[in-house]
Amino acid sequence: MAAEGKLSNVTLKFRKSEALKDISLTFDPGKIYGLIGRNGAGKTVLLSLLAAFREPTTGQVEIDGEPVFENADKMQQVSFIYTKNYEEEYENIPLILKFSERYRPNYDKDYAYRLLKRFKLPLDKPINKLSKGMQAALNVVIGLASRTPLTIFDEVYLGMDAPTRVIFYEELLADHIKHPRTFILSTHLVSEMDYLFDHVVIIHEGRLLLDNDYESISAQGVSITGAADRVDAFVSDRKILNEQKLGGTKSIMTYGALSEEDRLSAQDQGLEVGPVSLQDLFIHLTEEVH
Amino acid sequence: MKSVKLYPKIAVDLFTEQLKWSLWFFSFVTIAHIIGLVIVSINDAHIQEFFVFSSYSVAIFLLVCGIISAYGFMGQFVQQGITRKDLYIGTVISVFALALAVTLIPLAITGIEYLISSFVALPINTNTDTVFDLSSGWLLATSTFFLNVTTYYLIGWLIGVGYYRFGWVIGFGFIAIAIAALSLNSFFWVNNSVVPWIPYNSVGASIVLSVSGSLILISLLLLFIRILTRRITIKL
Repeated sequence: MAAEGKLSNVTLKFRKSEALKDISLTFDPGKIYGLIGRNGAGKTVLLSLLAAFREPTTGQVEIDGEPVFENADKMQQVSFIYTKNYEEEYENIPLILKFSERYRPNYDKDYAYRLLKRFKLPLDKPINKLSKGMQAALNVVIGLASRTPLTIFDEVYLGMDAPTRVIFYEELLADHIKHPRTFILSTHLVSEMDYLFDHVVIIHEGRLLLDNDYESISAQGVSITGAADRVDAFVSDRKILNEQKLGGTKSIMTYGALSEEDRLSAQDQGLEVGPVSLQDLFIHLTEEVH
Repeated sequence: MKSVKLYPKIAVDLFTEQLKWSLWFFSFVTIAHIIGLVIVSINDAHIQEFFVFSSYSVAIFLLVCGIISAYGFMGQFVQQGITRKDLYIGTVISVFALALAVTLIPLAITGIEYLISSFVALPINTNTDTVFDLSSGWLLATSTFFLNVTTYYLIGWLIGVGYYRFGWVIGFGFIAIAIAALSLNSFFWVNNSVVPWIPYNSVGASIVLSVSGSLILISLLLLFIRILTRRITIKL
C-alpha cells in the first residue's frame, strides 16, 4: 500500500523569513523520492508539513487527496523519521518498539527484530547509552518496520558508518519490492544514494528547483571534453554549469539534454560526451542560483 | 480504511506509564513516612496520618507529571501519526484516572495504617483540622483531594505547554498564570493552601461553593490547554 503526498502552492513563513516559497509538488504513490537541498534549503520543514507536525502559512498539504493536518486516518499513513534526541531515553529498544507496534496498523514485529539483528543493535541497553550510529539504525528499523504508506526518512543516516548505511539502502530496496510504498529520502549524500531514487526533487532556498524522474535528470547533465576552442564553440548556446581546463584540453558540464544530432556532431569534432553525476548537478545547480 | 478511535488506547498508555511513576513516588513517600514515625516515636510526639502526610507532595508530584507530559508525550505521539485531538482527549481521560489513583493509593495506605494502629499504638495524629481531615468524612476528603490533584496536574500541563509552544520568555508568563490559578484554587478551599506562601482569601465554609469553584477552574484550564495545543507545531 502506497500513499500520495501532495503540496499545492505551499508557503511557510517564519517571523522574519520565508522557509518555503510557493511550492507545488506531488509525491506519486509507490516511488522512491530523493529530496535534495543544501543546508537550510527547507527540506525538513517541507517534510514536517507532510507529517502534519506543522501547518503551512498558505497552501494545501494532502495525503491521498485529503488535507493531512489533524486528519486521523491520513496521519496514520505517514511516518516521519528524523534524527531524534535520545538523551533522555532510558528505556531499551523492545520497549520503544512496543509503541510502534501499538499505534502502527501495518507494523511487522518479526521484520523489526530481523532488522535489529542485521544492524547488530543490543536489546538490553538503554537507548541513551547507544552510539549515534546505533540510534540512527534504530530510527531506520522503526521507519521500515512500521510499513506506513508514506515513509519519510530525513537524513536518518547521520552517524551511521558506511557499512551500516549500505545495509540501510539494501533493506529499504528489498522491503520496497515486497511492500511497495512511497518513500521520501532527504539527503545530501547524493553520490552514494542516487541509485535508490526513482525521482529527484531539488529545493533551493525554499523554492522548488527541480522535480523530475531520475532518468530524465541524468540525461540533462552532459559533460563535453576535448580541445578547448572546439569545446567552447560547441557549448556556446548551452547552459554551462562548470568548466575545468588542463593545458589545451577543456571539460565543460552543461545542463540540457543533447539531441542525437548534437551527439553525432560532437563525435565528428572529436569531442567526448559523458554523463554528469547527480551530485555534480546538485552542486552546480544550487551554486549557480546565487 | 475504517478508522479506529485511538484515544482510549492513548488514555490507557498514558495512565499506565504515569501510574508506574506514581508507584515509585509512593514507595519513597511511604519510606519517608515510616522514618517520620520512627523519629516522632523516639521524641514522644505525633505526625499526621499518611493521607494528610503525603497530600502536599502528591499535589506537587502531579504538577511535575503535568509539566513532563507536554514535553514527553506530544512529539512522541504525533510522530506515531496521532492527532493532537486524540492525544488531548486521551490525556484528559488519563489525568482523571491518575488523579483518582493517587487519591485511592494514599487512602489505602492510611487504611492499612489504621489497621496496624488497632494492634500497635502508632504515633499518628488523627485530630487535624484541614479539609483532608478524615474525621470530616471520607467521601468529602477523597473528592476534595481528587479535585485538588487534578487541578495541580492541569496547571503543570499548562506550564509545560506554555514553555513548549512559546519558549522561555513567554513561558514565564505561564508561571504567573499558574500561580494565579493556584491562588484561586486555595481561595476555594478553606485552610487548604497547598502552596502555603500564597495569601488566600476564603470564600467561606460552603463546600458547594468550593466544589463548583474548583470545577470551573478545571474546565477553564482544560479549555485553555486545548486552545493552545489544537494546532501546535511539534518540535523536532
